[in-house]
Amino acid sequence: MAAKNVLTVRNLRKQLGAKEILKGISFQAASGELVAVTGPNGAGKTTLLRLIAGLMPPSGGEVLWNGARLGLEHRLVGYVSHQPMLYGSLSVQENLAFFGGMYGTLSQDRLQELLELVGLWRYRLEPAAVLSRGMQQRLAIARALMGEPALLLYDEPFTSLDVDGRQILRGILEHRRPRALQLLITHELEHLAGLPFREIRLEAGRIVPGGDASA
Amino acid sequence: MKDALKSPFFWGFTLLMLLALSVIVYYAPVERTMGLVQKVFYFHVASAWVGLVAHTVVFAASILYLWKRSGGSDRLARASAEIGTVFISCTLLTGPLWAYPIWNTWWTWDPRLTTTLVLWFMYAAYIALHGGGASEARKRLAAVYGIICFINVPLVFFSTRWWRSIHPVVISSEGIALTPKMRVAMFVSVGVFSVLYFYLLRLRMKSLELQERVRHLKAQLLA
Amino acid sequence: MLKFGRRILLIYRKDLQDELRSTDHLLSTLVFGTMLVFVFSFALELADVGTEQIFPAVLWVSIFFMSVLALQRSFAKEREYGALDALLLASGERSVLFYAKFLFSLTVLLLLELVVVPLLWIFLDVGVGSASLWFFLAAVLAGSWGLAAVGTLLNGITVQLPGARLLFPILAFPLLIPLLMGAILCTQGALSGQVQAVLGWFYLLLVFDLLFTVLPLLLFDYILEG
Repeated sequence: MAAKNVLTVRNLRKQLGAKEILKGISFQAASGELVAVTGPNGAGKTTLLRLIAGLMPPSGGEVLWNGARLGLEHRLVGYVSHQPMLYGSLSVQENLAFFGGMYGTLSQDRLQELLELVGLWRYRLEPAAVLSRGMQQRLAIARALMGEPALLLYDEPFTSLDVDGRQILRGILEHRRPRALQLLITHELEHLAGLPFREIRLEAGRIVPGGDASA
Repeated sequence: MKDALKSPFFWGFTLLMLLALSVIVYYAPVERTMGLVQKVFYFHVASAWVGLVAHTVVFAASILYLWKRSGGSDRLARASAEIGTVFISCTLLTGPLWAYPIWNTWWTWDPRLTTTLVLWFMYAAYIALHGGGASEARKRLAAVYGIICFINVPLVFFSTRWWRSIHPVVISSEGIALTPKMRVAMFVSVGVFSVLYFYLLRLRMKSLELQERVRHLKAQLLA
Repeated sequence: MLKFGRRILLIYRKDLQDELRSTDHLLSTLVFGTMLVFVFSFALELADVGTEQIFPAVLWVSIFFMSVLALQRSFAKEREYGALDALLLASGERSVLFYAKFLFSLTVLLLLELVVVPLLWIFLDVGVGSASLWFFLAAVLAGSWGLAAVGTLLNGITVQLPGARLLFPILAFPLLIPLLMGAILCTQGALSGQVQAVLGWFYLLLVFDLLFTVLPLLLFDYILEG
């Protein structure tokens, strides 16, 4: 791997109406890091992730990737949200193949590798709508990895995953660590036990002092 | 209302309106063939003028909102759309009053009439979409719609004009087809209506701001 | 540029695949369209109105009503499992989504018209004597193009507001007035075989189409930024 990729979040603010959701967030992280974003409901965690992904514009401040402003960059960001973000009428394989086509990273080997990684190879011909929520979440994770992103954003990815699923996700977090920068929102840090991570704790739109620490 | 009675703006404006009325009634001559009904013209033209100004303000304020995301520009667009609807309604109501005796019909699909009616529908749609600015998304989407509407207006106007026109063209490139006294009355009326527009705009923006503050305070109390 | 074209086509293919697999929406819209044809022709028969003169108006009002149902699908399918964000990230550009959804809407509209237009033609018993069929097809295509473009633009707006399905026709109607005029007059010209007389209206349709095909390049970023 060549030079490290660096994400810089500088004084990031987001105002929605009279409500200020983020009140100036600054931090820096580089590829190889796993950052856990924690905090109570309504602290602005999801908004922070969406701003970094470029899905909404900030009201102030900036998000930089290796010093350049980050927009809706193709292939850079893999995003796992609360919702499975898939198409119910398409099969598991078609869902993944569609995104692979969009990213230009589609091949039969890659498809099989990813589906086996998340344990969905057996279900590849099932329509996504008939999968359980946990299986859909696995598919969502495979989709996020499809474009080989350098920046992975997970919004509470452990919810709705069973024991096996959690183990798979932990494996992915561990395995991707050298290559990508991973940001993960979670309420339960015990899921990350054993993995080296750094915690950023948000409360009411601010980083809690001392809430940016390595575990 | 009590506050309005104390405001110098209110009394100043009332005087202006009385002045305009007396100019229209006493100063402007009675038209030779149309008679008294022609006096509705001064209200008709003035409110149509305000409707167009208001529409342009919605457009400009919408662009400003998308650019700066300031609450003020959103309130300006919203208030202007509401007031514009009232004035366009006045135009649409006074038109037939004059048209029935003169054209012998309440309504006709003339370009100006059609454009004005479409303008009214656009305002109504804009206000429905804005939904009182219940969320940031609604404000943003209404601003986009406000811009699309403004761009669409010339298309509506020229297509209907191409189709047919029987509307009297009072102001054309050759000048104004009115006696000097009528001209004075028209300009006074347009001027006073414009002042009325800005007066109402100010009031409405203020009340929208207060509404938003109440909503904000309520949210804070509940939090 | 080539990459954008490829992504547009991929999304378009995915949408068609999805639509053809769960055909209930397409079918209900089609049934609605044929019912409109039936109701109009029956009502006109009862009122004893010359159907040939009224055909262009009935045709476009039917298409307009049908499109209210048909054009609200394009973005709705992204909402079901919240796929819109993933699609945006994979597109890299919001306007890619507009053009893909526009192509999809236009295809669906044309498919529906393939059934409804001939039906209406037969039911209203319109002669083909002096009609210019080519110009008729061109008018239907140009009209549908504009409808699909405006519809896609507005669907991008209404899909973000839960419970705003009713808003769609209200937003669409005032914008579509020039298109409706151009389409009706062109259809009339095509039927009577007097194409030259209405050529100006055809150009108006093209201007309208062009405007609402290019405008989203500027505005779609603001529509889908939430």
